[in-house]
Amino acid sequence: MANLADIITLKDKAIKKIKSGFSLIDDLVDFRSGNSYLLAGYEKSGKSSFALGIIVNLLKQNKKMAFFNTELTDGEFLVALTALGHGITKKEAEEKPKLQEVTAKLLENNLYYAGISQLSKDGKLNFDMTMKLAQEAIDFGAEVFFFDNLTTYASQTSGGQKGWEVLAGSVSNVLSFTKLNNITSFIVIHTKPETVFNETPTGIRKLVDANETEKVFEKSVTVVRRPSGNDIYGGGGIRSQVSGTILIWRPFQLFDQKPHLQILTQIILENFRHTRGGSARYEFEGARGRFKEDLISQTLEANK
Amino acid sequence: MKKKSFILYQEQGETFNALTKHKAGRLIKLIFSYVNGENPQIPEDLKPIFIPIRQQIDRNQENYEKVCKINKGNAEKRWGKEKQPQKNTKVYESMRPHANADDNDNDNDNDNDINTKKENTSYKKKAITKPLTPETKNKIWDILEVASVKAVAQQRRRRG
Repeated sequence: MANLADIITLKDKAIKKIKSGFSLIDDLVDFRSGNSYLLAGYEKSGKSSFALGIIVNLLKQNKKMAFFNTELTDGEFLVALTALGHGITKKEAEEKPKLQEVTAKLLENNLYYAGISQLSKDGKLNFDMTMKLAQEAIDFGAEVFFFDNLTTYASQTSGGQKGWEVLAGSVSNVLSFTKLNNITSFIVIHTKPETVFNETPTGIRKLVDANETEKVFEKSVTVVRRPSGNDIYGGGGIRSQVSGTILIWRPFQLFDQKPHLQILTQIILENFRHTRGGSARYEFEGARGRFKEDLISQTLEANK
Repeated sequence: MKKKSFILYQEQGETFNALTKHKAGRLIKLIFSYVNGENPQIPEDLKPIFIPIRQQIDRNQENYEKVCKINKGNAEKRWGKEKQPQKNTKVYESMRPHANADDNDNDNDNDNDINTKKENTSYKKKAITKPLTPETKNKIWDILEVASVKAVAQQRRRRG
């Protein structure tokens, strides 16, 4: 049996911290090896884009990563990465198959990728298959793992299992796998639909009118309220097991007619085990899948 | 693109006051002749007074054209050319590139707003949305935070 002092020394030496590359977030928290983090938000809020943003940033640090994708098609995944990596829109990336090829080639040595077809067995998503491939990714040398999106496994249940049981089981598996292999994992998960409400706060209506925009709030609009860890599928049970939760909040994401409001984004960092957390403001450019730091309003807010 | 208005500054009143009524009258007629594109002959005695005023008018016109160009570009980028409601995007019709556009532009905006209010009412209905200022964004976030807390409390009450 090993001496406790030896174990502690070895463990401390082994802790690796990674930077997401989003400076406002890296100022508030750090992501450590052996730990798993939830990346959550309302559907289509930009969770996958955010994960891809981290990948592009980590590529600059020459990190090896693994991405298990159940959300996008393989083609969409490559287009999104090409757009982000080259600072172009997804539409432009779609029209440039050669650039996509270059991107795929560039990623070859740094990204282990598995899409729906690899993650399925008998035409159904299979979590055991995912873990088998995750082991392959360890052999590949990956240090940062993305599981996008574990909610999808819960929607394809079998053998009388309930959705939440499948989800809780898969999260627990990822957590153990992460600890055992001393990697960092990001688990993408949806928030429940109840974060959406159909009232327009009157204060906002007045403000936007005063800013002489069109009378956007003549009728009530659908606003996504600030999500919290309790709004995540699987609830508090899952949240308490991970080392931190990243919540993406885009209050006007369902408000198609007003792009200047739609871009408003807040990244909420909740329940971080090793750091205090907080929130940071971004602008989400949907066409590019890019999160831009909103430094001016952030600074103004900080100096209030 | 030619504007229908131009700016004379209060401080230029000093120059006019220093002139005889006859000279001041000739000067203002000369200025109007110039801004109306009549390319007037400048009398020798008025040259030292007229040239700085002309330079200021030219600078304002240049600024106006720059802003038109930027705004036209912005409008096209956001809405696509086919959605442009008019051939020429004018300063007063389009998105402003920044909340703190320089003073001259503001003056021009206001002038034009007043001058063209009636003829542009139909267009105003299609007004392009201005970007939010950082201050407005902060207020929106503050209100949304409060509204979110209320929404959560309401949901809890409904659940009993």
